[in-house]
Amino acid sequence: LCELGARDRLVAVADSKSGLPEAVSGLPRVGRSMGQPSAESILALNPDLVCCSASQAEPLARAGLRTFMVDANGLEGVLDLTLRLGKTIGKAAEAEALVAGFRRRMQVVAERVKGAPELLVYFEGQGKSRGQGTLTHDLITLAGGRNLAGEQLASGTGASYPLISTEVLIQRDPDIIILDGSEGDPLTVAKARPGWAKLKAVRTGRVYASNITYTDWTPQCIEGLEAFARMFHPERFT
Amino acid sequence: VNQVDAVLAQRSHRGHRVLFGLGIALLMTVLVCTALGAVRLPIQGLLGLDALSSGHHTILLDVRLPRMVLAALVGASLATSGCAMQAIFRNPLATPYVLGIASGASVGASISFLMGLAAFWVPINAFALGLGAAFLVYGLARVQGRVAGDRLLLAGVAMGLFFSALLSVAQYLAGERELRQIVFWLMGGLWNASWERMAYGLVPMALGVAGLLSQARVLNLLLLGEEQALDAGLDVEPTRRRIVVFATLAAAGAVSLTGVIGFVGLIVPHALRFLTGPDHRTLLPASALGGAVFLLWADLAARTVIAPAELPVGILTGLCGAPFFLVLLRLRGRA
Repeated sequence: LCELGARDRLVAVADSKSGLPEAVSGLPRVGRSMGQPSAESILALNPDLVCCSASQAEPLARAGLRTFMVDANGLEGVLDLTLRLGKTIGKAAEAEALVAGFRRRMQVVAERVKGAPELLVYFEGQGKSRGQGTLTHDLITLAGGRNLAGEQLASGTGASYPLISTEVLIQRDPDIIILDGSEGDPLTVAKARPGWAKLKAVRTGRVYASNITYTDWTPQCIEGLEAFARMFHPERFT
Repeated sequence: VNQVDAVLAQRSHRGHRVLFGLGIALLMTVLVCTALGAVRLPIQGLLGLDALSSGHHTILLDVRLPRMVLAALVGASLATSGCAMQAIFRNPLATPYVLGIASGASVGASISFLMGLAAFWVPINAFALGLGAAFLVYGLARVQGRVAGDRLLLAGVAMGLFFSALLSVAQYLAGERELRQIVFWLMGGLWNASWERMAYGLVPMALGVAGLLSQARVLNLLLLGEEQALDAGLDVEPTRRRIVVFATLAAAGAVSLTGVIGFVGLIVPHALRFLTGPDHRTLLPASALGGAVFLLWADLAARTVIAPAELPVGILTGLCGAPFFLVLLRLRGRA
């Protein structure tokens, strides 16, 4: 909403454990991003539109509020969401310009990483990896990496958030490891894991931390794409 | 005591055969579990005929073996603890978690996730709150120096519900990341087994199991009922307290390392009771061996059925254990 130039139309935001963007820091906070917000508190603000997740929408709609569901799948899903949100709030042109900008940045990344050796990447957040159909998988692939979890499970269970066997991780020996939400230095965390010390990515120091906003269905995922590409192929961004 | 022993002696021959059979089963299980996994290790390498590659060496020594040792220890602890709890409460529904250990430990783990503490704090806090919950229950159930079995059981249920509510609070307050961590922990799994981590739970688990094994004769007496035990010259109150402490240590040690793994502590002692009869001199060691075998197989399934991904073992113990037990119950009824 802020990037569509609608910051002045925001009356309140939901609080979030993973931190709110600077742009909305001064706004009053109502409820939390997880769980069910209080319909009464939101009604009291008299908003024209409530942006929320699909699971939160129904009780709010029943309370007479107009809702817009912000759930999205994959990178294209995020871009599509941006366009739909723009249309809904009467900023269709801004949304199209924004998405066109995103596509240009995606194009730049694609050109930079074109022809570079494909690196095997393992991503982990809260113990689980990200398979095909997730935003994270799209980002890794577009940044010139091969997602270990996506590849391994292509014909398997189709799980989007698989718990990858440590045995398989050691056998496949990825070039790069990305840890999301790791406490402290990702390399130190990786070294302490059983059997991880001898992994190629750990030995060569190619263990990185991912910012949660990169993989969290926000337009900042484009920044994530650029960050991943720089992580994978630093020689192409000098 | 002599009369009881005389009656039980008739069964002991059969008991020894069951223990011997379980020992062989454990040996076979260890061999199968060493050989199989998400990654196929060359058989010549496993037999020591050929050198293993560095990666395969790491898989065997740093991943597969510590995980098997943890599975065996946790299985043995939960089954022995459950067996003892069923005896002192004289209740077939008693489990290692009956004094609120599982929900206490879950709250401990959840707090660690919510506060964003380093990973090594999770088992420590889980152990502390699991133990704390059990001792709190014991203290609250103690009235005028006496702890009635029913009161202890009810206090355990109530405390369990209280901690479950706290757990819900933790889950509600959690952000998306922490929520995933909590839910994942609650499913119970052995995926982060390592030699270093095992050290946290090893002492309480070993102490608890060894302590319970030493109390087999006393458990036989308690099973007869409080009056008979008193008649036989047993000081019931301190004995029961001692057994509760051992059973709690074993269960809390296990839960702190793996999360909540259900059914092992309920099903394994019952299944073995069908085989050995109620003599705890056989039943307790049989439960320890049987628990180890059961959890090793369950974890073998957990780490191979959907390889290269894996399942939390707690899902499988319930999914396979419950139907197996129901079949056993029907067969037993027919016999």
